[in-house]
Amino acid sequence: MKIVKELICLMVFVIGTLVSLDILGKIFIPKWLTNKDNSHTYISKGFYDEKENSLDVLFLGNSDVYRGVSPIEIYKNTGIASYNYVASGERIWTGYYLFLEALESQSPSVIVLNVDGIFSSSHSSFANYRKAFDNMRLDKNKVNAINDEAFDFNFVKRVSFYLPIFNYHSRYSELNRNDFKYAFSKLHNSYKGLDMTTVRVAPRKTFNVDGAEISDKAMEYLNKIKDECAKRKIKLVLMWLPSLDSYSIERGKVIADYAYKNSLPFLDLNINYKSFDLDFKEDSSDGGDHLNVYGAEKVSKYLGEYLVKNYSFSKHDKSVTDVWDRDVKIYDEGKKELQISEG
Amino acid sequence: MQDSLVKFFILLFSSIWIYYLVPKKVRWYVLLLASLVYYYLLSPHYLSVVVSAFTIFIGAILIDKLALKKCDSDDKEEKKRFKQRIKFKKRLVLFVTIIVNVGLLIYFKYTNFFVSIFSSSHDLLKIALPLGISYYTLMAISYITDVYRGKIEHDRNFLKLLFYLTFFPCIIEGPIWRRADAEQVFEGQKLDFKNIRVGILLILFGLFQKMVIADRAGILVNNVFGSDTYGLVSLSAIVLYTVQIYAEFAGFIMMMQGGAMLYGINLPDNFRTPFFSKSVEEFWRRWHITLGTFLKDYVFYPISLSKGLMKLNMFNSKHLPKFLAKFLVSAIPLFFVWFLNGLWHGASFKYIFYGLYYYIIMMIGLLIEPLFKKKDSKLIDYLKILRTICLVLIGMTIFRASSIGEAFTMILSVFKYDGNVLSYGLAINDFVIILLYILLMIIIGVLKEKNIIVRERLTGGSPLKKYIVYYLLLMMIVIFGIYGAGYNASDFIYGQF
Repeated sequence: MKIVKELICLMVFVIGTLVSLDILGKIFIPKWLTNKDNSHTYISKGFYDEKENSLDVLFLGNSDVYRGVSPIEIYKNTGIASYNYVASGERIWTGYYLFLEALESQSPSVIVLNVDGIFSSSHSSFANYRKAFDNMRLDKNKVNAINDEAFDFNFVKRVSFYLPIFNYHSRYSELNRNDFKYAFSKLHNSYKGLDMTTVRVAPRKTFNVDGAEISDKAMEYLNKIKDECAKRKIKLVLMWLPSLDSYSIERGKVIADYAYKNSLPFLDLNINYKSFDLDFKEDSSDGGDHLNVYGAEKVSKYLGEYLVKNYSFSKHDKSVTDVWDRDVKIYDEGKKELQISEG
Repeated sequence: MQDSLVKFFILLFSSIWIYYLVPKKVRWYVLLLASLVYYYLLSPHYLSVVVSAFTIFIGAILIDKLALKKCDSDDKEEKKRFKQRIKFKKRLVLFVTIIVNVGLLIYFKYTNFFVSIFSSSHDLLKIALPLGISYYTLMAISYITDVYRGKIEHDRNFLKLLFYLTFFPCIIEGPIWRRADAEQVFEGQKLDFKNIRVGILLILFGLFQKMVIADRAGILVNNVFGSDTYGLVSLSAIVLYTVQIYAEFAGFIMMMQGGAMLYGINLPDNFRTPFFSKSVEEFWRRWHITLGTFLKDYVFYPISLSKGLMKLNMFNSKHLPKFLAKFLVSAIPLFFVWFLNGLWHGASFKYIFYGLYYYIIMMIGLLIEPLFKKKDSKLIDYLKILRTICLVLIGMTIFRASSIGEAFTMILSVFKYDGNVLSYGLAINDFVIILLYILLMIIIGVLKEKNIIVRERLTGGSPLKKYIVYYLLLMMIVIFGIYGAGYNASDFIYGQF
């Protein structure tokens, strides 16, 4: 009887401790809420706040997407509901798990994959992996990602993904109100995954982009996304957003060949960006790598026209459009505020 | 957390189930196996410890066999000569066994030191130090000497000796336990929840001391020692190094005691509130107790009671003033004690100086003692404690500095004002955590002095109470521990000895 009592106490203690560690982890994970830290918390948590199966289009890729596509602008022009579900420095193997996670709650008709990061065969920084996964729900996709050898996470790192407190415990002295406020609450992202900035930085140098080979590992995950889309009857569109520091004609050809072989459309916006009046002097936030909101709106207008022209989307009910209409207003106000604060 | 500690806990928690599942009489085999696995995992140089165990095993059998020999003759003179022969042979066996063991220690630990003294070459020989050699050599000496003195019988099972020398909670930093202490293991321990409760508490508090306090203090210490600093910065580094070494060493021993306690084994204490000491002698009776008692039993007494020194003392008492003769009775054996204490800590002149620093302080204390009248008052006691702490701080600075010169430069730099203490890796909240720890240790120390055993108070009574304590300790370690991104776990300071 004594042993049973001790064991029950021990079990309660172990469960209580694990729950506490989970709660602490949620509090201690940094809250990336502004464009200074690329709004990662907003992007991830905001995605979960979208009404189930309400998105028509899903944009996947890396930072070029969260800076270069404005789903609100697409909605304004076409009524298409879309979202940028992406992370900084995203590799295709990260994108694959974000893609699977997105499909848990959404069933988009079209997925637009920005291929900019496909030529990166090396790892992204550990911080970028954390930004991608720390706000993801702990479900089978996250567990599979943590254990996928593509990431080369060692045992300690894997544990720290399950219990993020082990990674962020040293933040105890910098915790603020937001850390507690957004630890458990939902977060609605009115910009739909756009990391909005109005900063204008014109290119000052020419970029030399070497290498046009896709590694076997990247190709494996690209094929996985393609196959899963085919299985679910989702139209996959490959896209390369305008970017001076990663695009080259050779690379564009490699993607075009892949798209041709697999009967996929490929939107190479680096070739025809002048047709929608994109000007890197005015529309880039960092000298040609990423776009600012002005560039994103031009790109999005073009994308909206392309999507309407090539695909059909059903109309949304009022409960969805009401939220989107409200988000349009918030977006416009946010843009005005940024124009004042950032210039 | 260090690799050695991670492996320790993996072995501890994986072996404990098997330990309590097998019959009592064979439980120690589980521990022997775990100890050998641990030794192998941390150091492939296990031959030395086997040789050490083998020599004391054979040596002890020979000594006991010699002791059992009886003289057949009735002649008194013959009996006396026989006894002397036996005594000589026993001593010879003891001497040879000790020489082999000390020889191994000297070879592995001190070869480069002696080479550097006698050779102009600065090239160090590549000699890998076997894990725990500084500790198990002393244990081996204590075993063979205790058999020689007739305090214990020789072991008939070699594996028992191998277990005694390699028991994995003791192998890295001690405590230096005696063979008689290990007997409890072979009797077989039954599962006692009280031991489990206290064991877990000790492990958690030890881990707290290591990960939250010692490693935190180490950040500033590592940034300051060896660089040009002054005033409060230097003083902080000196004080924090003392906090670091105490929290780390005492914390580590506590974890090992806790680990052993999960098996129902009691390891000897190594610390007894050392910073409450009123003198340096008392400090060393409370700090690294098992080393102190080893030196007392196996260095101080044999030298004090040696024929040569007895004769010298007799001579001194007749020809020197009484006070001086009395002084020399202690001064001569203590010199060897402190010389060896220093040398044991490390193969360099700095460590010898470190040992002799305490020797000089104690001798000065002995010499000037008659000049002061004994007065008992609380205030004087506090001043004595403060004085002892100051002397220990100087000792710790010698211990930490890379050379004797650096140690004195550091100490002198305290008296020049300059520098911002917050520029060396620790923020205000880090200092607050360390100060709260010091306060906690003072409270625990005061209670201990009043014979209130905090660990038993915390783990006794309702289960809820102990689990709240475990929970709080665990959360503090998780949140405030120095580990993971941005932190590098530091090595155990005493592990290098």
